[in-house]
Amino acid sequence: MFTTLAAGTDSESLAQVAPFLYLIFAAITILSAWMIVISQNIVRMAMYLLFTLGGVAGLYFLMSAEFLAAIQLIVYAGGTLILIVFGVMLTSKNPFIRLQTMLWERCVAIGLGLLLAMLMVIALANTPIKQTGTEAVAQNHDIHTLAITMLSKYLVPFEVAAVLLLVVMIGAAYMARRRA
Amino acid sequence: MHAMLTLAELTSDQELIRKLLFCATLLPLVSSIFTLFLGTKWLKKQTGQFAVSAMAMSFVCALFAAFKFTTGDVEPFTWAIPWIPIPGREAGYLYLGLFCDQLTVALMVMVTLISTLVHIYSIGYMEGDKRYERFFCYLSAFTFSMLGIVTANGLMQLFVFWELVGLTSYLLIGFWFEKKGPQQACKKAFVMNRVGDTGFLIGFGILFAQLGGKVLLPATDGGMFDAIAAELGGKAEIMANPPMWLTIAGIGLFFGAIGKSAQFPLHTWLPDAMEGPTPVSSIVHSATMVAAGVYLTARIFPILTPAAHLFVCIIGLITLVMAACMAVVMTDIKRVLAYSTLSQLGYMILGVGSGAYIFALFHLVTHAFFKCCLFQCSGSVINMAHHQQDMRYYGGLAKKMPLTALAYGICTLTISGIGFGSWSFLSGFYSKDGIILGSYNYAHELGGWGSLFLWGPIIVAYITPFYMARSFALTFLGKPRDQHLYDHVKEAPKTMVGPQLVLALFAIISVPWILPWEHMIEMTQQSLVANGVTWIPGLHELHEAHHGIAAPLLFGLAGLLMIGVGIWMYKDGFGKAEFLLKKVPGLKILHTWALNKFYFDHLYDIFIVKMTKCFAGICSFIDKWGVDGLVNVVGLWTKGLARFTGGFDNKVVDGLVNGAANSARAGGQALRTTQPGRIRVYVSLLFVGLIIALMFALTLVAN
Amino acid sequence: MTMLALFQPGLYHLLAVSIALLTAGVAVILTKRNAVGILMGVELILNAAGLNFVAFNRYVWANAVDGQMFTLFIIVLAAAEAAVALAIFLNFYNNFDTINVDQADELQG
Repeated sequence: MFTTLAAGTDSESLAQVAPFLYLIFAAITILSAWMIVISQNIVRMAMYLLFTLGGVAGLYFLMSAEFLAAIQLIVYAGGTLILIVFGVMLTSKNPFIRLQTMLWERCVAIGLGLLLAMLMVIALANTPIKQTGTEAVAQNHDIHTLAITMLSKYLVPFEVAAVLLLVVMIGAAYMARRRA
Repeated sequence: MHAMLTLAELTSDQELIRKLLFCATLLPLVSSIFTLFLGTKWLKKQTGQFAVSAMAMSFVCALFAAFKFTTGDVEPFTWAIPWIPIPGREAGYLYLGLFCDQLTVALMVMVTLISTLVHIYSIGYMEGDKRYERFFCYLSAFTFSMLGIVTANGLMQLFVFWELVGLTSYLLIGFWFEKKGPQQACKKAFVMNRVGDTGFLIGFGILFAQLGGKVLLPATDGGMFDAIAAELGGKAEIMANPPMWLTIAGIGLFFGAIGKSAQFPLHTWLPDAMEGPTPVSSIVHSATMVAAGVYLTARIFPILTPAAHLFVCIIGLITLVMAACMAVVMTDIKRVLAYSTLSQLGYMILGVGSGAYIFALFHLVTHAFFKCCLFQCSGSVINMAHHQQDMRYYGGLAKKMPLTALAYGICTLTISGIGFGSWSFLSGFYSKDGIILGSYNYAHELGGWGSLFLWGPIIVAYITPFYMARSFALTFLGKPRDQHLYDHVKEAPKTMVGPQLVLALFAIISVPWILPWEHMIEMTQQSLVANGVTWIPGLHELHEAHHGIAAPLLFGLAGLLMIGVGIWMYKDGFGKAEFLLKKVPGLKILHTWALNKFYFDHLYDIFIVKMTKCFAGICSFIDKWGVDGLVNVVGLWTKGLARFTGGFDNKVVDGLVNGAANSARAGGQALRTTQPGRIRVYVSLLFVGLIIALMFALTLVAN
Repeated sequence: MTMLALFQPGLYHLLAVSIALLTAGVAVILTKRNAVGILMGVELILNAAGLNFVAFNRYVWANAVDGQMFTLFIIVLAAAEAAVALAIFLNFYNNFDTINVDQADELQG
């Protein structure tokens, strides 16, 4: 009773600000992503990537996937990006060095990207999708359900992911070690 | 469908003895395994104490078993369990078990006691060696192998332990394998023993061929070969109508003993085995390895034919005389003792051959004590004299090492067989006298040239006190000939002196008090008469006559006399001996001859090593020109054929193959342009592919 | 108000963002010569995929959380992939003294 009421209030208040939030987060995400494409400075690219990832995390919030949003921030923005920045620092004598591609290459790239986007839009338009309401989301998309699902239905992938992380840790440390 | 062997139920006493002997045999093995795996890690410097305590426990078990056996009037018994099934043989199984009679318990006590004392001695002798722990492992394994031989319940089992003795002796003699000498010595011992074992296997094979699986059956109550002898009608029948094959089989088996006991043709390994650590020498020369040969000879006694008896006696006699002569001229203290051992072993073998096998075994036990003691004494001296083994540098050491000198002196008297009339306080007198008694009877039986078998042992009985007194005088009496060495010598540590004194004590008291002399003669006589050995009609009377007249003059006092002569001659070094060598014509040649060990090593080198090499050369020649020539002709033919097929191959087959390869290369050349190695190109192609796939899917949906 | 209702987030809004992200990712991969830059493009594509999963889970099949689960695994795999990729880049950089992927053509056909 209480939970439904609270959820109802939440969703109501959310519905009022959702368009604004969506616009903001989507703008951040898309603009930053394209800034990565345009930028020639690898450090700036890393910075824009951080904004993109943050925007995606915001969109997750918007879709009431709070846990995922937190993980996105912690692991992606906090972990992977730091890793990438380290990579940038370790692999550049001069971090501001420019490694530019030729113009025709860039034209091909943009063309391919646009073609892909266009095809996707067409595909989306041609696919009928039946959407569900928000009630089920309020009922099912809490962290409790997520945890139960992870440790029951997705237990094996979970364990495999654990092993994978161990292997990656050892492998990465082995490959990146200082050689005699 | 194997018929299981049914053995007699053991009485409770027998059962107890069986368990005790079982423990006594296995304890050294356990100790060996423990020291092998835990020695260097856990026990470290305590390894010696650990091995000694295991051996002491083994000794207590053996002693208790012997006590039970002699006091409880226990019958000899046998015990066996099936080991390996043999299809199609009447035995059905190879058996694994234990055989026990008077001989077994006596030898068990002797071996475990001496081994215990040698273990104790080793603690002192091997101290500071870098493979200290490993030494005790080997030593315990060696003892275990010997105990296995003594308790073996059948030829097969005996042979297994027989070979184990060979292996462990190899390890022990070559213990200091970093040095050249031990390397050669252990190889020599091993190879010599293999020669003897070949004979053993031949004898075994003949028995098996003639008698079948019965040979593999466990021993009956009378001993390992009793059943075989019974199969052939008993010893009396064998002596009366000896089959030829049995003679050969007996000699074959005896060859095994020749190898292990270092008898005449295969004797050269024993003096060389001196290269091993002295505790090894002392145990090899007394309780274990050489004893195994005599033990086997005594065990095969029931199936020896008259011809085999003669053969055994001849071998014994040759070894006896030859080794005694060599012992007189040696200057290395351990070599003197080694040749002395050879000579005493000759006595034992002669004793078995001439029928007095009980005395031979008696001599085995007494000799084990005093020879072990002598070796330990020499080891102490050598250890203290900075590994100087040459007696020419000794002299006057009695003042520095009184206890060692005392033990050495007692054993010298014992080995000399000092006695007064028919009585002595030393065990050596009785055992040696018994053997001479047996050979006297045998010589009497043969007549004519057979009297050699009497005079040989008697002459050696004179030589023995002489060379023992010589070594004693050179080492312990007179003035020091090397002052520097003399100054550094001091009494050996307690762990070394203690065992020496205990052994000397046993050399005095052993056996005459445990097993009465008269009883022993009676036993020999009875068993021989019962076995149909014809040449001993009235041993008891002979014994009386022998001792009444000849013995006191011949041995007891003569021994004392010769000791006196030896000490007088060598008290002040080699002066008198060299004077004699100069004055007496011909003596010099004899001396050189004996000093070079009768040139046996040279002989073997020329006749066996050189001939083998020559034969190998001939073989190699034949191989090179005969076999290789043939091969080369075949090779040329093959080459010609190969040329032809090669041409065919090159032109026709390769043409096809090359064509295929060329077309493949052209295809690859065309395809590799799509692989520029640029990551962007790959990714572009990937997305182009994705776009094409999407378009295709969309057209499908649209239609 | 109608403007706002138009931007009330639904499935298509999120998919639009996802498409933009994917396209940007492809463009990044195709235009960068820096290996780390390419890695960033890959991360963008992975994010687009994750966004898709969450969006479909949220608006099409809200009875379960399988889509979120998949995104979770994508994040984990992305982290692992980034670690291994950077290790490889370090090796590459140590051996060739550059991070330009165009020079990594030793195995060129």
